[in-house]
Amino acid sequence: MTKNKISDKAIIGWREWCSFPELGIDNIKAKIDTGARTSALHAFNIEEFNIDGQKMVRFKIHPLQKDNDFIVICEAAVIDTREVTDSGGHCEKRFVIETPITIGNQTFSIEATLTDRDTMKFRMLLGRTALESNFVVDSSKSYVLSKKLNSKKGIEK
Amino acid sequence: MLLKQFIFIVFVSLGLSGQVTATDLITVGWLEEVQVDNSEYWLKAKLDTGADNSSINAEEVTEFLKDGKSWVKFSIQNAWNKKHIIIKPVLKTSRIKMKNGGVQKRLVIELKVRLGSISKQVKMNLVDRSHFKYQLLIGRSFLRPDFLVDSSKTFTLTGR
Repeated sequence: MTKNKISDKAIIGWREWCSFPELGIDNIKAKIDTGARTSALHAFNIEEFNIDGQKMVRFKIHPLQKDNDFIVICEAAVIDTREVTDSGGHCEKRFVIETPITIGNQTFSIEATLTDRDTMKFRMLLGRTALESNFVVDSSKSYVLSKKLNSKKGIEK
Repeated sequence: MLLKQFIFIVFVSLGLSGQVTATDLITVGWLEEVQVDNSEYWLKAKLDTGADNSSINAEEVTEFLKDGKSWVKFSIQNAWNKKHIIIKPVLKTSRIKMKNGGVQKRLVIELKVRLGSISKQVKMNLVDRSHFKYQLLIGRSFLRPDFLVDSSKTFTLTGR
C-alpha cells in the first residue's frame, strides 16, 4: 500500500475526452477501464485492404454517443490480429492497430483492437496496457486531464 | 492589512486541504486480495474502473422468502478452493443489458468488503463469473473516493 506517498503518475478520471490525430477523430469520449487489458475502439463497417503489401483496415466510427448522423471514416495499418475475450466471456478475432492518442496535453502511442459493436455507450475503452506507465485512475472523477473540444463544426464545414 | 491576512488564510487553507486530499488517497493494483462478509475469508478481486457496480461469482443460488421478504443463499469459492456460504436479504432484482443484446436477471445484495484498511458496505450483483479468472469484480462505487488504481501493479496490499 502506498498511502501517504504521492504517486509520480498523473491522476486520470474514469472518463476522459481524447483525440486520435492520425485517424481524424478530434473528439471521442473514452472510458478508462482497468478491467480491460487491451484498448478497444467500437467501429462499424470494418474492411480489410492492402497497400503495397501492407495490410490495412478501413472503418467507420460514430465518435459522439448521441449523434449517429456524424461519422468519421478512418484508415490504419493492421499490426496484428488477436483473440480477445469480452466482459461477456465471448471470444472473437479482432484487428489491432497502433496509433497516437491525445488526452489533455499528453500524446502517446497505443494499441487498440477494433470491434464491430457500435451499440455500446462508450466508443473507446482505454485499457491497462495503455495506462500502466503514465496514469493512476480515480473512480470519483471525470475529465480530469481533458475538456471537450468543439471541433465537430470545423469538420462539417 | 485585513485583506492581506484574509488572502494569506485562504492560501494556507487551500494548500492544506490539497495536501489532505492527496495523502488520503490509497493507490492499489488492478488485482488485490480482499476480505468479504465480515470474515477472515479472502478473495482475489479485480478492481475495475470500467464498471460502476461490483459483482461476485455466486454458486448454488437459492432465493427464499423470510417474513414476507425476499432473501438469497449462495456460496462462493476462493482461489484456495475454500467455500463460504452467504445469506442476505435481496435488495433488488436488476435487469442487465448484455453486449450481445440479451437481457440477464441479476439479484443485488449488500456485502461488506474490506480492501486494505478500508471496509465498506457495497451493492453486489450476484452473477455467473465461472468463465472468468477472478470471482470478484470491484467497481467504481466501492473505489470512490478513497482508491486510485494503478494498472501496472497487482497485489500491493498482500504481496502474494
